[in-house]
Amino acid sequence: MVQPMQIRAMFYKIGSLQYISHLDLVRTMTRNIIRAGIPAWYSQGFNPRLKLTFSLPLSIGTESECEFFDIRLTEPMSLDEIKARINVTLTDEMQITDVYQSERKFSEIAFAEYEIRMVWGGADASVAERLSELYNSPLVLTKRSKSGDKEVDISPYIDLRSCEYEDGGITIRALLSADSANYLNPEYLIKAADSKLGIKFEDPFSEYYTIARREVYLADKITAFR
Amino acid sequence: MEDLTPKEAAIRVLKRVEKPGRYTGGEYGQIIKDKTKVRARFAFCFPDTYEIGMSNLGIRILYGAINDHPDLWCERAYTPWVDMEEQLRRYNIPLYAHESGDALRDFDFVGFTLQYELCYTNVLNTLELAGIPLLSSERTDDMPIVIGGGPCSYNAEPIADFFDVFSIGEGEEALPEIMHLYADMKDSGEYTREEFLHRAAKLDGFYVPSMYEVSYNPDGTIKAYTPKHDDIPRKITKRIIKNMDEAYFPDQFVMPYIETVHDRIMLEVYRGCIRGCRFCQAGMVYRPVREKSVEVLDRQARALRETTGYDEISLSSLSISDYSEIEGLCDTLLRWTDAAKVNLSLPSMRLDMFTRELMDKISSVRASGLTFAPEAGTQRLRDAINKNVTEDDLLHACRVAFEAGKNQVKLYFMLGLPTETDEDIEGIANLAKRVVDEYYDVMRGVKGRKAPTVTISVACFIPKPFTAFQWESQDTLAELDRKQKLLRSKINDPKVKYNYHDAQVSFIEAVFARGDRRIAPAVLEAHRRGMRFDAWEEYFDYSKWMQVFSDCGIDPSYYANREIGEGEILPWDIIDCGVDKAFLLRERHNAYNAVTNLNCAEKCTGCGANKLGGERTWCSRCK
Repeated sequence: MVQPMQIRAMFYKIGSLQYISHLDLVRTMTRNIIRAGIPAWYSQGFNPRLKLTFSLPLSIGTESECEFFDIRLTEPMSLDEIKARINVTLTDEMQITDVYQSERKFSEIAFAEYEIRMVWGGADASVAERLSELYNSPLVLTKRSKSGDKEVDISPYIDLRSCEYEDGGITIRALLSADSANYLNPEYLIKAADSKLGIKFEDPFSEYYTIARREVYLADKITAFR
Repeated sequence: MEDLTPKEAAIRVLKRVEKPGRYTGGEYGQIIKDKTKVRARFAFCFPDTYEIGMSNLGIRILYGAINDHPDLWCERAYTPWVDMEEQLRRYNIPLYAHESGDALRDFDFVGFTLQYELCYTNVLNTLELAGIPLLSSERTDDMPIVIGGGPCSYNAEPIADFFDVFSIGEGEEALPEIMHLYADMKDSGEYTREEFLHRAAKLDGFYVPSMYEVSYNPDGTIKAYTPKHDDIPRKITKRIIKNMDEAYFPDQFVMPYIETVHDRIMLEVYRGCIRGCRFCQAGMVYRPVREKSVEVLDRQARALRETTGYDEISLSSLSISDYSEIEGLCDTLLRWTDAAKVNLSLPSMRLDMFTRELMDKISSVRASGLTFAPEAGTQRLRDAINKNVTEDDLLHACRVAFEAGKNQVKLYFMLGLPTETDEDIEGIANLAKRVVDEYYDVMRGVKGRKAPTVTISVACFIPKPFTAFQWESQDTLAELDRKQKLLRSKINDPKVKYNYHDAQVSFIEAVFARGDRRIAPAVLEAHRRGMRFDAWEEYFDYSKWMQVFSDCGIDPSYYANREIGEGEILPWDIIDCGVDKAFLLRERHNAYNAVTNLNCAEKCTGCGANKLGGERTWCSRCK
């Protein structure tokens, strides 16, 4: 048998789909690939499963423009056709933007760029400056991990690109560590704003934040992962 | 606050709740229409969580059947879990339909499927969250018509005050019909709530409770149901779909993102049941049996596989092994399902139909355990309930399972069945023991055999309307408790595991199953006291219910524990489900003599449901 060809799909997941967990996404996408009639390869064994691998998981409540999954094909199908076929099985809040072949491994993803938008009554240019300072200085927080809660300085994992006041809120752009050993959930930036500067998001209509993953990079922070 | 639709507002609070995917809508397969171009809008509410509601095949069928009409739009809504309810109340966000995100109170129809009695407080809570007055009498012309349907609508008297109309029987044709009546009256300017309900009461299969006056005798029994108009029926006959091959069946499902209870293709094989188990309501109210043909089922299964991508097809019906062409259906489906890596499951197998051939075909038995329902512990009692299975049938089925390498069997029983004696209860323990012995007999000399587990799961009998046992009293809680303990004391084999249902839950269910309109105030009061999700163990509170009944001056035992006189007018006599009361009465007396009756495939026993008609039916009189 010919070695099944591995292909990669890049997709976005926005709007109400940001509330779908990673596990639910895996199950949904499996069905979509079947529904789309893609000749996808199944793992062998007593209980064959469609082989589907995702890049780094996305937390509930985070939008993304740059998610990836890999599948293997058992028969040739054009990349454009695969994209078109899967997209009609999805809604407009999740669409594949590209299907291609890639040599890169998901483990090469080292950084993810996020855009965080915080809106509350107290937002102004001076708070933006204090936030900027906060994220650029040593920042010890309680971090959850499999081995229990730990006090960790998260500042080495944050590469703040901008933090500005605009349109009644503060917009932050930052590269956060995303390799599996040092993955930093962007929610920690919100937690830091709360515990260190007392910025609260208590009324979902006047005080809220949004998080969007905009890009993922290799260790050089310049080359976008594809 | 910005100008947000209720759903947009709700999305703002989703970070604060568990499983936010319950509330977003936006699933693949949802149907979006232009609301300015449809003539009537229907919000289909399931009065429990999203995961349970999305698993209901009836809603999937009716959602598609209404939306199949270009001028009608059906959307979905579910009862929010308590954490989301708190957020909705806190920020004054009205409950909304998932597709458009519009508030339920702006719909033309708000429909509830009533699958179990313990959802009644959820119905009221859902209406309140939607901002719709709870009592039908308090709703004005500009408010939605609140309509109910489903199994509990066969005796909906305890909640009749909260509904404008009930759809009795199968809704695929009935719901579009009533929506069109509404749209026509709106278009012609004739619409008033009162006039609409009056006309709806004249349509086949619609019960408008406010159009019937109930009077009572001094002893508390019902004296009469009196129609308020001369031109509405004295009895509402249920609607059925006569030809299941031609009936609407969806070729696509709304695909949930989050995991639901039944996340698979559910293929309805036939309606009704040929068996006549005397405790079973479903076996009576869905008569006559009407089957789909193998060709139609194969086509529907293939279409759904293509549009859903599901990897499991569950053949659903009340007793799947009774389908006249079950082998042919399995063979036809297996011709393509194996290659497509789709599993077949047959969840409702009768143990006397359980064969090695069938077992080898289906994947539901790849698991280590199997479930059978002998229901009673002795042949006398199984005969009395007309179960028509023997101990030999059970042991044979278990032997087949053991020979195929299974070592776990689950057996369903009921406690408190009419005519039950302590001997019958001991019989349950004995039967379980014999299944254990059967395992060792089959596995004699097999090296490395595992120990068997026989789980007996014991429910409490609930007398249900439209069954031969509808007149029977339910055992008191003290008696059920004694019986549960007696059974426990008879089980002395550690390989037999014993589970039993909470008798207090069964008692409340019995009260509502046989209740009349006079217990509506208790439902309302329970709602006012914050009671909801009664079907969930963590929210069911027996003592609160008893306090509510007491404060409302209602004696719940009157409804659950009283033997009803055979000559009495029953609260559900207003409904004609097809099966005659005289037949049920004959069956009741057969039970007392432990006399079994034949099933529809063997011989007609004259239940009366043939008058409704039907195609591809076992019923010789329908033809």
